[in-house]
Amino acid sequence: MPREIITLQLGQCGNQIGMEFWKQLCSEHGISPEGILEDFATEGTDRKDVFFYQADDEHYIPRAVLLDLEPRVINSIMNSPYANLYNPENVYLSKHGGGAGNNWASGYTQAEKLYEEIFDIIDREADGSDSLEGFVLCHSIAGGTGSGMGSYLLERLNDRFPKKLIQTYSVFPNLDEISDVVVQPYNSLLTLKRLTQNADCVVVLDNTALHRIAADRLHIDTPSFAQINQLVSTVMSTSTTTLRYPGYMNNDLIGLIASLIPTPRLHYLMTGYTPLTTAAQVASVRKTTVLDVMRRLLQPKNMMVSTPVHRQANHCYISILNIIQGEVDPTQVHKSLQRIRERKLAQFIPWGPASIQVALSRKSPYIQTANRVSGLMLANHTSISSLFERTLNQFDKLRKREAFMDQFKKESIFKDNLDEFDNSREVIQQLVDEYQAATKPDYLAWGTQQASGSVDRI
Amino acid sequence: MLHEVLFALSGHSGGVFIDKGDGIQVLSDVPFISPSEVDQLNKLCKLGTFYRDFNNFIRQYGGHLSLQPNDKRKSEIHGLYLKSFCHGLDKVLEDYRASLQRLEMEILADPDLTISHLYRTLFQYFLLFPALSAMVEQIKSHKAHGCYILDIIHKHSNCGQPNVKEAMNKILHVCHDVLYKQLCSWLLHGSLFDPYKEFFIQHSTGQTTGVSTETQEEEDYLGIMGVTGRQLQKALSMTLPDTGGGSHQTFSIQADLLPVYIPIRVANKILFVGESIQMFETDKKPATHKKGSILKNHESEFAKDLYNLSLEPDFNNMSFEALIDKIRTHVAEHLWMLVVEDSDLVPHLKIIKDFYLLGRGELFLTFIDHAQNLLRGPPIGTTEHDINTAFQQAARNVLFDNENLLQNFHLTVAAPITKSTTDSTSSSSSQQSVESGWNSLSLTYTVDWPLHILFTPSVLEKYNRVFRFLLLVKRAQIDIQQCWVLQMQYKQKAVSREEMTKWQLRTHMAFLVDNLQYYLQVDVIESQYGILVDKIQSTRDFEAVRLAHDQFLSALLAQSFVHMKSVSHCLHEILDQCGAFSKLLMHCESPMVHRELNQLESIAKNFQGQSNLLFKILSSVRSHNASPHLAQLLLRLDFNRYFSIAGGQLGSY
Repeated sequence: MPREIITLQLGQCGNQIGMEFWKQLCSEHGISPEGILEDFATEGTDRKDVFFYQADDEHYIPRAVLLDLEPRVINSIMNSPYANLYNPENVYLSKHGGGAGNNWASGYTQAEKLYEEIFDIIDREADGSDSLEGFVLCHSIAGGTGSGMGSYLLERLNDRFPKKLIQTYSVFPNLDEISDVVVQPYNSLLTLKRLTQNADCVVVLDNTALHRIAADRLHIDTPSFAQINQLVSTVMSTSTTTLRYPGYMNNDLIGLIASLIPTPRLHYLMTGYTPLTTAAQVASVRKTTVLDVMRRLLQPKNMMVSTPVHRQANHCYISILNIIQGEVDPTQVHKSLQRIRERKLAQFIPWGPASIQVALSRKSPYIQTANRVSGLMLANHTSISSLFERTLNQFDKLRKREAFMDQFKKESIFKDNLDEFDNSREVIQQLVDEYQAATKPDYLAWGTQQASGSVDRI
Repeated sequence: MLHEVLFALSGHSGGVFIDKGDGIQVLSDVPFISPSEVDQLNKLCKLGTFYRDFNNFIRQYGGHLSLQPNDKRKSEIHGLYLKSFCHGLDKVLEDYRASLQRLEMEILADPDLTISHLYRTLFQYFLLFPALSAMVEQIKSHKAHGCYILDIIHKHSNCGQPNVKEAMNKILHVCHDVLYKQLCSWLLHGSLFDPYKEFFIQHSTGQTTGVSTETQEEEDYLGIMGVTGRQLQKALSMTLPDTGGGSHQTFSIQADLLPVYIPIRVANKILFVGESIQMFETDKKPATHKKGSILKNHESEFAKDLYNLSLEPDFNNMSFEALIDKIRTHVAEHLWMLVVEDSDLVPHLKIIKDFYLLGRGELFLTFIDHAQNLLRGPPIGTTEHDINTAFQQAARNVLFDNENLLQNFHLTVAAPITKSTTDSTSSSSSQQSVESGWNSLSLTYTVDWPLHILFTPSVLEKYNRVFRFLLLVKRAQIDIQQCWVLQMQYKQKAVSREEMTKWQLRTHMAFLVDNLQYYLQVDVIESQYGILVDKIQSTRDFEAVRLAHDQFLSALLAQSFVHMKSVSHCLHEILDQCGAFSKLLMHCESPMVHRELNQLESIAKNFQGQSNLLFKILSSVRSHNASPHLAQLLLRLDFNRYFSIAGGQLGSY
């Protein structure tokens, strides 16, 4: 039982990062853009079957479903060298082809109408696996298709596959620059509600932080989509490395995420990566030890989520998983943990046991990297709530003015009333409150108070 | 008259000199002998008596050796060493006989020679003969056998009188001929040419020692201390009797046969060389045959060295040890080449790690899925077949390609403790019978030649103990993770107080099990494995490799607490509670009925108690430098100090 994972790529952003992800996986597993296993890779002991299935002896096909409401990105994929990689039956382009117009409601409504066709593909893909473990959803929360269609899919996947895990890689919009999508806060908020209630694990990819990293760390003044997506695919591929390279631990998705998420709603994860380099800089990266890697991963500048420092709130880590790849001395792990604790480099929750878990993982033998050691951190940190607060603020500003409401009222979900907005807002406000509460020792009591409170309301 | 004296001196009594039972003596009432002469003659007679006794001894023991040493002469002293001792003794007496002959010539030439002349000529023997006689007596009274004779001669040669010392060395030298011949056949051909069991290396009866160490082991690990000196010593000494293992003959050093002047370390080296060569001679495989013997072309060189050494009049300890070292280094290096390079030891260790130490987590994840139902209950007749099928199936599922390698692994469910239960009371045997299949699971690995010298059955059994424990942890982890899926369904629902408690218990259990797992895999297995591989690659000596491997294994056992009763019992309890918790949650109704709530409460209580106990044990020995691994586990469990703030108790709220 390989515990297969089906990847769903939605919308422009989802398909772009999905595409980069598959490129990365192909090169790591020695699979050519046509899906043919390269001669040098036939002896590998890696596990390709989690993310790929085998059509014949050397032909591998991604367990990926590509969905979009407008043809631009999917067409570009279909014109790329990777066109033949995917199962053409899994590429679904809405016949209407007009996209969702950056409108969550439009994406949601269109997905509703396409339910049969989409789930035919997903069902077929699920039937084709021995012991499906779950789904990975790639999308952005700000646009129309990724957010709206994504939200709808999250709800339906939960109904249809109640025992399967759903992990998402969700791209959060860049708030430093003026967006071309004015209704971004609406879209984000509505999507966040589904991510909170229907996903088991959300890996937050914050465009603001990704751009900052590109500018500050990689010294690229105007980072291109490709360069940003390169960062994203690195995070995605590294976070799945223990699933793909057999190791002693974290061999399935549940093993990977369960230890990070102690309570059901606090399932938003931040990522950090080191060393962050571009191809040109590689030579200057010096030798790295485990402690170096772990210390750098705790520095905010390497985090792929930008969170302002709150003085009043005592934000802390709920859990940390470090995946370290490359040649390291395992005896150093313990010493590094000791050092980090002595120097109080990481602040942890006061209401439960927490620690830094370190998984040593193998690297792909087919990719030459100049740096000997690299590390990815998956962290559950309460400061992620500032992202939601930001969204709430922006949402409130727009909502007060009832701005751009017309486009939403056109769609069936908002035809009668705008309760869905208020409802989503409440869910997210509660989420923010819960994260705030999680910084305090009495968090568990808070949880039950909230519960009794909500019972009263019912 | 003088001829009578000569006869007496050569040990024959006659008319004047008679033997009344207490040695030859001159007749006391012979008129023509003055009393002063009587005294002198009696002294000379003593020499004659000694000589006669020596001759008798030589005749009795130096003659033809019976081919069946175990028949009627069982109780008597016998053997090659004794025979060569007689030969040496005879050689020493040669001088005496020559002196007598010279005296006879002198007497014939000059009939008026005085007794005093005889006395003066033979004076040196008055010192030598008593010494020789004392030695002969000691050999007889101690029933000295084999190399012990060397020991006796050596002790007697420690003497200030030059002629005694010289004579002793002469005898020793003769006896060493036998030793060198035996050494030669042992060191160069690995064969024990020893029909009378005289060599200081002997076949050992392996089983008895195995059992005794087994039982001792249990006693040793009662305390909560780390590796005690005694354990370490045992771990090291285990290497010697263990090496042969299985179907192979085992050899050991007989301390009572080892002469004092050969140090035990040299003897160990000799044992190692012979054993290694023996292994090659007896079960040489066609593939390695072409490479020739282990010594390659050095056999003649070493034989010559040994021969040269045997020609030297005195036994030179330094050059002896130097030569043994030379041979040992050669053999050890050759074995290292064979084991580490030709047989790919490091990849094999990786395989051992992948299977016994669950390095291939995904394989065992799948296997546990398949075998969960098969092994939950006590094993039945078909269990073994079924789980092997499941194992193969799991391997195929994770696309484990190497079929040949897989064939080498076989799972058994025969409980290793059944032997002891048969003769114990019925109550304990009924306890044993409810033992689930998981606890009696073993993994056997067919080791290819020549790696069997490292992976002996007793070594693999130790691996199995770690294997069972790791599997238990893994199962508990999987169980607890399954419950996480249930917990995650509360994303939209409100959580009541009882629910919160339940889920916090789950979180704490998962935390403990996860961190235990990380500790075992990273802090213990990965770290120790790294050390082992480094050691193997930094040496070219097989014995160093074997030592490193033994240390690796004992570190695994110690640091995974398999040997620390208190901790391991505690961990087992905790893991059991995790299993019970998962079972309860997966099958209970929601909301829980009263009975289930009670059960949950008792699980929580047990878990709290055991985690508290674990905390106490871990923190009580934190300061001990002897067991830093306890502190390592504690660091992981108490990383954010919640464990200590909560009073060293998990699972409470």
